[in-house]
Amino acid sequence: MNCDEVRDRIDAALAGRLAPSELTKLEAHIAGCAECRTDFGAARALAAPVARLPRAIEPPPAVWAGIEARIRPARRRAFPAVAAALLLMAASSAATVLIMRQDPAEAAAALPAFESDYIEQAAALSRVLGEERGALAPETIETLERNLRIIDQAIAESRAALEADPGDPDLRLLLRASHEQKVALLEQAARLAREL
Amino acid sequence: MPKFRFPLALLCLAAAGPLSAQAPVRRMAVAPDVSIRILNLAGSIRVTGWDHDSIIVAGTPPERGGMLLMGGSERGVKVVVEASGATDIPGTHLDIRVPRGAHLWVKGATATIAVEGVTGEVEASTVTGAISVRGTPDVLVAESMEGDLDIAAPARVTRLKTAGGAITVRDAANEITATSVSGVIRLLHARAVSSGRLESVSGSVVFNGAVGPGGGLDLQTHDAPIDILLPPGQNATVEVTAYGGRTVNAIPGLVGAPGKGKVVRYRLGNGRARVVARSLKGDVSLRRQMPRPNPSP
Repeated sequence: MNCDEVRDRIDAALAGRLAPSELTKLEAHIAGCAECRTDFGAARALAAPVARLPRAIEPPPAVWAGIEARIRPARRRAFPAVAAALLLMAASSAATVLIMRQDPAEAAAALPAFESDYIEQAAALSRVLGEERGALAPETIETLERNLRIIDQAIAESRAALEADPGDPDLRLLLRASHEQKVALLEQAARLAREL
Repeated sequence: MPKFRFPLALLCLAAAGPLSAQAPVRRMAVAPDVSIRILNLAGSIRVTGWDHDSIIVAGTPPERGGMLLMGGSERGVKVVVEASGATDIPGTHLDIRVPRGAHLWVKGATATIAVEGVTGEVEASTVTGAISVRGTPDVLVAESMEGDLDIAAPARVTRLKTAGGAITVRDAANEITATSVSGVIRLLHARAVSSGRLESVSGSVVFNGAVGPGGGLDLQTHDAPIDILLPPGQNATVEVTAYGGRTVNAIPGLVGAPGKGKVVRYRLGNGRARVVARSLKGDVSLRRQMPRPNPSP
């Protein structure tokens, strides 16, 4: 499965609509592809708040009363209602596009959010790993912990450097890479614990 | 990674008796592009592609109470050494012949894995066992926590990952990603890499080879050196960002120009390929590629 195929299937995977074989391929690709892992993490982070949104929003009664009053004289003609619906859809789509399109300058200023996604992912994986830790040999756990310490040190140092120079894009990349390494390592260990 | 699940009964029916050393103990006719899943936690797994539409499994007998299970269909085969649970045994050594076009999924824990001559997809993983791959697989994915990866298999797509194991790749080409936490990453005699990402937190990174026309290569460490060796004819723009370490340019006549922030930009030839190297605390060096040693007669 290549990157394009993975991106096409991320929504289906998060919604639980993907066949097990497809899901396995997607997981395998994500485990080895930082870009797709980032996309997947972003989609997953978005999925929870989106899922909490109401499926439909009832307009206030006054709004419907106003629309009803205007369309009543021409009730046989559906055009105004259709037009209103289309207008609402267009407005909704435009709002969605505006929300989804992140301005690069805003992204640069959103460091805590960008880090918190990774921290959240790492914490979730650590919880999973904690439950299945018994499946791993003591030497493997030692290796895991040693490498996690290396990554945590790198994260701390990259974060300090970025705090000193918040506008440096390469420092952001270095910090992001360390977080990705941590998530990837925890994923690898969790997978081992599950499969062995 | 295909996961095919065979009924337990089928596997039990296919359970093999003790293996005699190197003798063919199991043969099965399969499709040329069969999916094969191999699991042997301890010992070794050697898989060789051959020009026959069949699988042969040979090797040493599973130790005390262990069992070799093999089953499936012509489209999917599973070979599993079921361990006895004892930890003081040397493990089982499997020697397996598969059709060249097979799609392999090979897993070990302390077992070493060696794959040769397979042109389909290869996925191999271990905990501490070393992995070596030779040949021209279509897609290669290999990962280990502590085992070293030794790859001489220019695949269309290559993904390699370790926590502490070293990664060595010879004759890399096309698209390659190699990441490690504390392991060294070495790409030697790389040719025409179209897209590459080599990234280690505390292990050094060495790229010795060529980036294809219009290709991109990204090298990154946190506190370890990055060594870039490019051939004389390489056309590339090289961007180096070394925060705490030094930037060492040992290419005669090449002068760097300051870029944005701490970036130093170099231009080789028409600059069509793009090489980016960044490290927070490690040195970054830029050198001419050393000539490849002549193969032994």
